[in-house]
Amino acid sequence: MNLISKHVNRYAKVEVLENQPDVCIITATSSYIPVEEFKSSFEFIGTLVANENVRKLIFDKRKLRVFHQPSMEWYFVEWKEKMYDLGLKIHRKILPEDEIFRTSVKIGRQKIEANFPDGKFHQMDIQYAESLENAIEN
Amino acid sequence: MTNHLKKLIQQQETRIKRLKTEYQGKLSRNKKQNDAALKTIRAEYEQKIQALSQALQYQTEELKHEIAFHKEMNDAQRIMLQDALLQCQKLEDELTKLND
Repeated sequence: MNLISKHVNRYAKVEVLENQPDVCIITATSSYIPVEEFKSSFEFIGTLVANENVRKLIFDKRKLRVFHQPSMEWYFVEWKEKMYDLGLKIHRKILPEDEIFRTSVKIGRQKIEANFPDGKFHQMDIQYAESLENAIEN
Repeated sequence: MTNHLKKLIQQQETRIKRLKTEYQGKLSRNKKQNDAALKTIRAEYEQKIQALSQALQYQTEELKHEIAFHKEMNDAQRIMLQDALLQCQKLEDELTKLND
């Protein structure tokens, strides 16, 4: 698959598929993404959603080892809400093998779901995938 | 005899004058060359000092950035641990309720 680079910083890169430009992939390139860089990367994706008709987002977290709950809350509660209104409703996530990380994600997500029962993220198509190919296909 | 002596003296004075002019010319040329060499050496030195200073500043910024990154990651790990402990506590409470 051919990927077109759209945005890169020390901790993450944003690309779109050459033959499916409505599919955007954000890949963590570090074990942790500081909150400011996390927000700026997703705000950049927001511009792609608004201007380039991105309809599916794949978040490849396989490099991550540390999960930051406040960043995740912002991502779910603020960013995803705005993106929902702009038409981005399909999310695929690829988690690392690391069980500690996977369990933290599960706990964090339960917490967000419990604290924000009316969040629009409940209406989105959010699924986990085991590979990039799988995330693109499904 | 006196005239001959005067002539000799004049010739001597002319030679001395020529030698002096030649000597001063050489001195002046040497000074110019030295000044130019000195200027080049000083410019090279200042350039190297500036490069070192810039490299040091860059490395300092990188280190500051690295420290801030690890500090923030450490805080995030602490939140992860707190949330995991809370979850364990919650499950423990549920288990206790079930056993009661």
